[in-house]
Amino acid sequence: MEPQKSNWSELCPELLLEIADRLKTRTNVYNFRAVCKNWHDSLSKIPRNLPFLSPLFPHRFWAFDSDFFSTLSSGNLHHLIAYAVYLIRPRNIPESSKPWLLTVEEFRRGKLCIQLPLSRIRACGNFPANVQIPSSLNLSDFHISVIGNGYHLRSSGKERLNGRGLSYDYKLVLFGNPACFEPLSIMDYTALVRFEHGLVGWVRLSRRSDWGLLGFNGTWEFDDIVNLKGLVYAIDRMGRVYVVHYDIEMPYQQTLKMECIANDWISSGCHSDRRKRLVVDSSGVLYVIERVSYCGGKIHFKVYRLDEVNCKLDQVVGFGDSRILFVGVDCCFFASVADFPGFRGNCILFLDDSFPLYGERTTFIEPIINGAREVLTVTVFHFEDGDAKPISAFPGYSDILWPPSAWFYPDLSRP
Amino acid sequence: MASTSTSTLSRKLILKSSDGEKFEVDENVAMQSQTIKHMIEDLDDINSPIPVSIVTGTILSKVIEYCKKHATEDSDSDEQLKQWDKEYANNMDLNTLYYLLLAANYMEIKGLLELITQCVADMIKGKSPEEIRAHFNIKNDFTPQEEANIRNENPWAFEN
Repeated sequence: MEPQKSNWSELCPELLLEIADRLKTRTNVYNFRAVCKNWHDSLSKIPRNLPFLSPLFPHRFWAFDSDFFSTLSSGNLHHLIAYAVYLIRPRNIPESSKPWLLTVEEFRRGKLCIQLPLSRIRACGNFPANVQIPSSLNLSDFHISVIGNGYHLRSSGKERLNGRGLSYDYKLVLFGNPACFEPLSIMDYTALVRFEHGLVGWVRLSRRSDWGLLGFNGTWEFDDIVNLKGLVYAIDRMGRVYVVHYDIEMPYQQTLKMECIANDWISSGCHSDRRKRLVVDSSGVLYVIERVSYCGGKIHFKVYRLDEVNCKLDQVVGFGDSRILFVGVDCCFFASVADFPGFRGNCILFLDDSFPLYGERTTFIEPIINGAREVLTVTVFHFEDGDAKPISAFPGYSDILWPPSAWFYPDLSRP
Repeated sequence: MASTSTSTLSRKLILKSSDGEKFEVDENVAMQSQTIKHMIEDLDDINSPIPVSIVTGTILSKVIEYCKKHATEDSDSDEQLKQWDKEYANNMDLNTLYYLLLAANYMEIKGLLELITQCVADMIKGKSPEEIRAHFNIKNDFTPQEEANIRNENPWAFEN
């Protein structure tokens, strides 16, 4: 039989079921069933209560007042939540029309909650007055692609404001032990969370008593953390880049070790500086995005690319005409300009909250109350002109953000 | 897979592939296959070759490689074994993977079956139906109407 070519479409139903059983998310199972008739028929329907965005999340746990998570996050109930940013366009309108950037999080398993674009703020209450949030979206009507995703930790405390519970959100990255083939459950991971003031805590999700703060030679404050090539990278206020890995001397203890891999300062780290952000492109190159302040308050950006061989950051001017960088509160991702008709590439679209000053108390550490903040300011910076303007200065740009295009609504009113 | 019988602790068995290739293996290696285990129980002459009728020699040698690794009770920790599994699966091309999957199923080797199905599932994850078809060289055999129906099966549910 073997010199014959394999015929994956003809696999027997029991093997197909074994495979489908390991796909873990609703989207993966849906895509699996849409491959061919035999695969479709092997699984009579999509199992209920499968999550949409991540096989691991949402996940929640309680911690005591004295526990690590509670002391650092001012809360006792902790939610680990996945979010995703989609580019969505109806199938029945021309390719040249503008897509919409749909930001969702999965706080409740199997339900997506629409957020204001690039933010962690629930869109509910922010839709135009005459519009209802849809209860579902039929995928047959849309082209949908993921352009960014990630996780955050939401901690709810006992404090209350105006009768509502307060919650705080922090960026979270997961670190699987590289020795594992495929971590099967959330318990196989270590979570790294960037708390207030840039403290980065790690905790083994299987044993929450096993935790620590990440630090290197007295540095405990980090601007951003990202996953890259199976590891976690971090940047501090000075612009030094660190890599986090499992301690090879104690491979089975799952202890994390931090190491500085680019030691030169690119910034002074003083109060007038702003939080730097990290972003990884599709080919695995790490970029540092720094918003610099010049006299007169003109907004300008510097971009650095990590040269891992020579252990340094190289300054570059933008990232090419074919790309747009989106920067939100948690998320930071590249998109192809080809997907955004009417846009000019080599630019950054950022939420004004996404590069806070070290010295100022920012929305990042302010409690997030559903629907309380209604204004999102988005600015566009073009490297070519070296100029930043509010998104409203560019006709058509804000169509992709808010409010949703009119085509998003008719569907909603369908019974 | 030459037959150097230095170890006499375990009985030897001879496995015969569908294309007539013979492999001498320790009994504890072969016994990881439930199918072979049952065959041995019914076997009168332990020295006669055991036919593994749907598995070719090329694939059978890979199956035996896996079984040998998992039969040895040396100092390999779970983590090291997982690492070995990972490299083992990653080194297979898609064609080999397919026939290994059939072999693991036929021979009822639970660990190998889990390893290969996980590996295939990981290839599917995050891909669109078009990308999955391209990866596994599968033809789209749905009618446009069927395709439209499938797209209706998975609405996104929003919470307000």
